[in-house]
Amino acid sequence: MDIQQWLVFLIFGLPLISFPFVIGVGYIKKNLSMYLGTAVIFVSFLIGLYVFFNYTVNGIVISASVNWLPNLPISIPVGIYADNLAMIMVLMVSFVGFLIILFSVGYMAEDPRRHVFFGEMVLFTSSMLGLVLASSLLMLFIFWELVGLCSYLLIGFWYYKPNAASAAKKAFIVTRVGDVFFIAGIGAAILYSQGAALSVANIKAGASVIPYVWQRTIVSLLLFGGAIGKSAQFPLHVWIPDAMEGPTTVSALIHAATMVTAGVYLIARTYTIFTPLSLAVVLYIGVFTIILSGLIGLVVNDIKRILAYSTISQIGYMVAALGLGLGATSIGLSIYQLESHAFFKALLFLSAGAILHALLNTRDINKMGGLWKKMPVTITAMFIGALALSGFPLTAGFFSKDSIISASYSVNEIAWVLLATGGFLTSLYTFRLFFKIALGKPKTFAAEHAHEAGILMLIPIVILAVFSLIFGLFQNGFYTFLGGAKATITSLDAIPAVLMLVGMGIAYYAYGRESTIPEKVAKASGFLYRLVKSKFYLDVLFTNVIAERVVLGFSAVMDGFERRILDGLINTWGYIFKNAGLSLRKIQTGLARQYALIILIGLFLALLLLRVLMYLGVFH
Amino acid sequence: MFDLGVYNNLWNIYVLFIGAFISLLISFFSENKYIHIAVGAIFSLIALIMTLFAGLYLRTSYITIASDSLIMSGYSSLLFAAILVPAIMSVLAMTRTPETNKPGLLVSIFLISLGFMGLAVSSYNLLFIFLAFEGVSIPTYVITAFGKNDSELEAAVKYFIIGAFSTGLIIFGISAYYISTGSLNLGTSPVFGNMYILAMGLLIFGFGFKLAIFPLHGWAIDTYTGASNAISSLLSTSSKIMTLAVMINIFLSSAYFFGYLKIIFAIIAIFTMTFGNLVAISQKNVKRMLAYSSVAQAGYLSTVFLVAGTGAIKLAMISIFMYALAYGLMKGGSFIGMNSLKNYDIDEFSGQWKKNPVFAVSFSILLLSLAGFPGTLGFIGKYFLFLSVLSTGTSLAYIVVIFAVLNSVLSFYYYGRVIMYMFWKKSDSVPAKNNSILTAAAILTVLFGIIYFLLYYYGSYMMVHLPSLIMGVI
Repeated sequence: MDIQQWLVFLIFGLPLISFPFVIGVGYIKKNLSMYLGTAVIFVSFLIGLYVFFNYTVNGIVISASVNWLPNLPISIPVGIYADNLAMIMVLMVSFVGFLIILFSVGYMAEDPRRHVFFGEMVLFTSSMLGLVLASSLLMLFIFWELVGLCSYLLIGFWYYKPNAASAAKKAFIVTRVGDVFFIAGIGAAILYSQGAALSVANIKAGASVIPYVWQRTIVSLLLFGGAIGKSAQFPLHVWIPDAMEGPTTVSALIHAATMVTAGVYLIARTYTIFTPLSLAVVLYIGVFTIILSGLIGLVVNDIKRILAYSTISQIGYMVAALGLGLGATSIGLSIYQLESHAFFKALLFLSAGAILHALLNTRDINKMGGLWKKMPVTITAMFIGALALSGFPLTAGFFSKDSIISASYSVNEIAWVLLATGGFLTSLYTFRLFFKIALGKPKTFAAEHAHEAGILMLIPIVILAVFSLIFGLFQNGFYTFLGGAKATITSLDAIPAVLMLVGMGIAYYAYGRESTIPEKVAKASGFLYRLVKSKFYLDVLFTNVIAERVVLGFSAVMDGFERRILDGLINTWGYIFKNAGLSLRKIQTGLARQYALIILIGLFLALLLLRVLMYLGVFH
Repeated sequence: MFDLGVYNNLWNIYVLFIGAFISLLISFFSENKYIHIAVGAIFSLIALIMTLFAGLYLRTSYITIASDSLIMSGYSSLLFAAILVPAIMSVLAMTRTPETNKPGLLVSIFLISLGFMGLAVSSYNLLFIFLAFEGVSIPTYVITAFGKNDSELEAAVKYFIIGAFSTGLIIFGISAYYISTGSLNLGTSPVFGNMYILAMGLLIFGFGFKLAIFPLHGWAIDTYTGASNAISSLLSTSSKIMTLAVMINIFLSSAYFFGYLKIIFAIIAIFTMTFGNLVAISQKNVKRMLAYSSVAQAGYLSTVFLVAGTGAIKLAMISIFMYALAYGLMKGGSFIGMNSLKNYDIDEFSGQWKKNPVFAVSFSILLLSLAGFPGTLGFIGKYFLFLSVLSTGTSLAYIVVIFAVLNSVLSFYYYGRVIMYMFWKKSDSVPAKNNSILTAAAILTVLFGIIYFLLYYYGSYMMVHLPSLIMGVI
């Protein structure tokens, strides 16, 4: 391997190797692990930046693989594959990850187990970087599972809170449903392509790696099943709102940089094998998720859960952009939305974290209010984040989201209508959240005595706010870098912007001042309101019906089978073996002459056997 | 014509003999145990380094000495390296056992036996093999007797009696070989077929005793249990790997015998591993359990003879190298780990997780590796060995591999029991002493278990000339 390949390996290898040390130094002095963890991710970012600039100069894809299990009929590459898509992701993951970890230095400064926290954050970031740079689907899957494991550990970081413990389990189990599809997809890919489709480079080279269209449809739909679980699309989005029980910085990392983007990245990575049929499924799942989560976001009162539902709907835009089926242009649209979303969502979560830090972890937005005067920098940054999230003209979200909506018009008018409506819902719930927090009078004692966070927490917030504002400058460069078409501005672009402003206006009218409109609307809509408020009964369906009735019942049957029949069989065998051992050990008398006798008997029998074989002729 | 050849390439073996003399010389002035052990370790390490470097040269152009009697090749240096790694562990472990007031003698005899091991794995003439093999046997009889208890003496006497008995069989086998072929070089095709088969049968039983395969295992159990830990480790690793290499050299170049060889070794392998595992289940003494598991491992190792004369031989040799290395680390490490404890009863292990977590974790890793748990080098060795046997595609191979896999499952029971005692059973046993060799072996086992492909590529890189060397072309 030459120096470039080593550098690419170090991008994820360095944090992966150093994460035990990050935890380890914590036993000497807890603060050391905070500094070490932050430094490690920063170094990763710097290496990523260097490799990225090298790529922009010479444009060589850096890849190196070894065969993981030699002498198998198929080859399983393990190594790195850094093309434009991977590098742009590496930059985003390491940069946003670094800012979030920097914020955590202030946010988690009081926690007694912070060395473990930082170790796990480093592992989380490194496994996401490894996922991005993996050179085969199997290696991608390994890091994919590592990401899942880290999310479990971090969501349940405050494991003594029963909510956090069960949320961690929920996140793990729900994404596991997706993982089953993913691994089935890998299996199908191996089966149909004789192993060639394991390699990311082969997939990128063209769809012909899997010969037939129906085979590609099966593989791509199974892979999309994995992506649904990780990226929290309908119907597997239920884990994300509960995952808000973890520390806020963890939510920021999960939502902005690492976990939920993995699914989108997987689709973009394997984009060549998606057929028109599976792309249609991708598109409709994405669009449906946008509307569904936008509606739920309107009625939730927990600040972090609103942000969680907004993540689900924004990821929906990325998925829908991929589902448009415009080739490299689709990937460009989706990844650009992914990255600008990373900036403003990290910004929103970190400012929410600063607010919770100030308000002693009160998360109900009805108990806040009037914070703009108390925490001017944080709330201004949050305002920028809210503008970007809802797609206010000239912010990052405007460029990324409106391009998707405009691009969809030429592909599918129904999708265009729904995507534009989604934009309206987005600005409605975003500004409902923002006005309730920032304007009006403080509603509790804690909100009255809120104060600005420390400088260490403000730096990342300000940096992210700047990026949320100016990221639109890079739009066309970004699309060209990923090989897509440049964005064109048409008159259609005005419609989403107008809808967004209307949403913002309604939000101000209903929530920005003293008003009884929300209660009236809720009463008037009656059943519909209850349906949305109970999240379309999906959680009830999954937990009470599927998990408790179907799965538990089935497992009870299997348990009985195992206890009664399998255990009995195993115990019988164990009994037989144990007694066989007891009687066989009797030939071990400890007398050398008897050993010699046994050898002689053995020799005699062996020579006899050889003689017999000589007569019979040797058979194999 | 008799061609003397170039003796310069034997320097990795000469340094071991030089070390033996230096150790004897030092013992005139000092009987400090640590000085002698340092000498032993340093010279074994030099030999290892020289072997690795010599291998880089020998892999493309092997050296023949004394008319093909000794052939130094990349393959032989690879196996010698696999012998030297556990040997270095054994000599370092001599700081604790055996207790002796003549450490100079101990180390010098130890180094002599190592030197002969190096000669034995690269000999391709039965006379040379016999000399080198006895050159290993006689020193090991002596060092087995080192120690202050009667148990070491008893172990050494049993070892010696069975060893002398096997020497007789070997001599008998060699003479029959000479009668049938008219030559002592390996790979000569026979003139009298019946005599040849008799010779091979005798040689299997003569050499097999050191490998402790089934009907020849009796001494091994008592000797491994009775000898001091460092010596048990040496006997069950280095000496066994050497024997396996010698047997591979002999039997895989006897093309006339291949058909019989496979049947005989299929039977022996199945009996050996089943016997070893079944009796190990009922052992309460952990060291004795390890001795039985060592017999079972010999059964797994001897499945390699089923690849005789097929294209799978290169993969089989690479996997033998990996398995030998794994076996040296895990078996040597676990025998040396016994040094940390007062007695070897299983109750002594209970609750060690609380008392000495490093010991408990390292020992568990080695046990899991012995059982063939994925993520350890033991799994990798077994995996590739069985893969190479399976790739011959004969029904015999399938039967043997199925038995081997079932036996691996069975072995989890008694390895797991020790782990269970260490982690979940409470008792007032004495905390185990720290043992850095055990820990190092455990770390290496896991490390190479994960990045095993480095070993694999190294092995295949070194064995360029392998097929022509041992498929009877010499």
